[in-house]
Amino acid sequence: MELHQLDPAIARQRLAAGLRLRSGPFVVALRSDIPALSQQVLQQYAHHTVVDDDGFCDFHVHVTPPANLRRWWRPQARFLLDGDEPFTPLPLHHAFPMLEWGLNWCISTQAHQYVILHAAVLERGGRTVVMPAPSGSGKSTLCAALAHRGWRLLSDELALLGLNDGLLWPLTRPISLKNRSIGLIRDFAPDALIGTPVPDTIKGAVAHCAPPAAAVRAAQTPARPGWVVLPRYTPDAPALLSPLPKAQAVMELIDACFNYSIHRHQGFAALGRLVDSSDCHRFEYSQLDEAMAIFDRLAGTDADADAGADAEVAVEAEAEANEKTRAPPARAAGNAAP
Amino acid sequence: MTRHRTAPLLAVLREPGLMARLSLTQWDLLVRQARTAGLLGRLHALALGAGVAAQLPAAPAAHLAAAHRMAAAQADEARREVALVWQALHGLAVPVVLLKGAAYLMTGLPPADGRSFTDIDILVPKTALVEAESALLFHGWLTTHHNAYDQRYYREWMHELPPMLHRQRGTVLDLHHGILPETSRLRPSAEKLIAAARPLGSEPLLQVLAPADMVLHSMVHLLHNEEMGRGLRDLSDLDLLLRHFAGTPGFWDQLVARAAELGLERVLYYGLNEGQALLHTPVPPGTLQAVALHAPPPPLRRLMHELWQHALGPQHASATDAFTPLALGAVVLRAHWLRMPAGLLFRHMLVKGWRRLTEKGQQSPEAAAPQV
Amino acid sequence: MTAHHQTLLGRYDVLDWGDGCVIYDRSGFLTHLLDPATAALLRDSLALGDEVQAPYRLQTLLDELLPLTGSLGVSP
Repeated sequence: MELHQLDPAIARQRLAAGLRLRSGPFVVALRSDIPALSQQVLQQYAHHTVVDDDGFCDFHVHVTPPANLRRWWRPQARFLLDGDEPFTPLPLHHAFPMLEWGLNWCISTQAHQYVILHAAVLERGGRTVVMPAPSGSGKSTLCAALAHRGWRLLSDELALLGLNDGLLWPLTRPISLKNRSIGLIRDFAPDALIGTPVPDTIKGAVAHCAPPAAAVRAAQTPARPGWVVLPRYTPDAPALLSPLPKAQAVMELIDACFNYSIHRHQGFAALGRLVDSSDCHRFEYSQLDEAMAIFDRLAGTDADADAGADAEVAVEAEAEANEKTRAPPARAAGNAAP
Repeated sequence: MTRHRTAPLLAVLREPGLMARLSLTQWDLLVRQARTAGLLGRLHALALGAGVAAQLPAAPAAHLAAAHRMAAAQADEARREVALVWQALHGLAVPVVLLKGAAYLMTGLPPADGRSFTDIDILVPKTALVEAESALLFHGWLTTHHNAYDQRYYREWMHELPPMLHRQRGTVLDLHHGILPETSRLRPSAEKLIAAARPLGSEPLLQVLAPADMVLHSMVHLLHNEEMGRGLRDLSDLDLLLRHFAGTPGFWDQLVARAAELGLERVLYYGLNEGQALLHTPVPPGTLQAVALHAPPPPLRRLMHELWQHALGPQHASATDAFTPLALGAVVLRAHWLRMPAGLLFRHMLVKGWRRLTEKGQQSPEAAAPQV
Repeated sequence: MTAHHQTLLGRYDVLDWGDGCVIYDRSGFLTHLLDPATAALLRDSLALGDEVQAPYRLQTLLDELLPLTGSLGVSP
């Protein structure tokens, strides 16, 4: 049963006592009686499977106001993993972002059966694009756009790479958007379900975009490597895909790897295999529509390396041609990402 | 009867083969208790040892394997760290004795598998302490706890220097010159321990304690430690050591004799009895009788037993009760009391208490979470 | 291009794509991205059969070529 199939009042009650949801390979027991958080969970996790039995749970998570004065005066929320509190409390209205950050922390610090990368992962035609990127690269905006234009979302934050099977495993949780990105995606994908922005976090305004239902329902299906793309949002830049030497691609992935120091030479080998099986590119963009077109062409290419190289050349040539003929960037109608 | 007596974690530590027969609901509790106790990696090792690893359900097994993987990475780093410590100290031409985790690791003893390694602990003769500290400083270690109170606490009263942090690797080294503080009521001779220590391999001066001494040190650490967070883990280390050395003929008699020689009979009494009670460590009846001669008077005996059972048992919420925090507090207080005279103790608790109120130990979630 | 993957001297994992080469040092926990000149030197040495015939020469070369602090990792 999916969460939205539960009567909302019942769902809230169960959330207050402890509600179990499946998220990719994990079962999370989530407990909270914070009304605003419950409401966001019902929206953002609407299509996630509710686990009814009292069997095994991977993470027991509790988001709750403190028992002290901060329950009422400048109210706060705490994040607890099985009674352990890894972070300082946040203002109460940050409860949902705190839950998301907290769950990311749980997975990235515990799930060492995977090589875990700070990257967005989406799939099309049986192949995945892995996009490792630091803050400000526009990765999440691009990810949200692709997820609503024919690409299956696996994750916007945490790539789970099987050590031995070399597959990418879905997590399919809400996509976090910041600041201008929020309005952009609302315009770009009117059918996207975006929660109420939380205005004053350390990263600015943060809102979450629910993962598309089809992606959530396919969250038990891993996918093969396909591409590694390093995205970078550059204002006014035409969309341009350029080749990235594989040795450099490996270093970028290692840089983005949370548990490299735990996997060491096995992690090195696994990331080497990922890169080996992938076409690797840098990607610069400013307009989402252009970006989508480039990714469409990418997905249309053969898995064969030669064809991939041809496609790269074609894409670069087209981008060059566009640059020569392009008009100054439009403002009002544009879909410029932050 | 407290809940912890029936905790799945204790049942499984006593009989690892049980892991093949647990329900998923029991697994849920077991993984949480084990994680809180720092024993997840050990459970993986125990499952392998009992031949049941392939029979565990996939979801909990993944947690055990992940923890074991992390422990293995720490073990590799610890091995490298030992080599680098030796590089810094071998020029002194004095014995350098590895203690606790580092010793188990380098000698391949059962407690090493799946155990997490943080600090390296070493013991050197007191006469070589100044030189050893200099050599370490020269090789990139920095001293910590720079305020005057802490420096005095360590250098005048304790059996170890303030922890040393390596400036590049960020690793921590605890340099000991004894196994109990200067101010302690018990004064086991460090010279005797070092004299009986055995070489690790080809380097005669890089050593580990003799088996009976290793066990006694483990008990001293367990029962006299000021921080009780890892009580069950340390007790489990001790249990595995005892089960291993039990195979050596004459070990138990040697253990009793050595405890007498070092003045640690009461420690041995507690260590063996609590190990047997919580983890069913197989101690021969003759040995238990021998140590019973050094038990405390009956009223104190019963109280101490209750305290230890609470303080050393699983600390997960599912296994504790209202008495547990009190028991932990009492044990910590006792440890302090045994380590220093009353006047010093009072002052020490005041300073530590003040610190705790003013210190911010936690990080913010945004800082800890991946940057978007 | 597919990487040529090998482990040298039981210690160095090498991924060589021809246009770029990375090495993982299992003893130092370091990862290195070799610049083209360094990569070429390494390939020459391997072409001579140094891993089998003259492991000491290969080790010396690697000690010279690989910085003590890798691109990622902690210095010994």
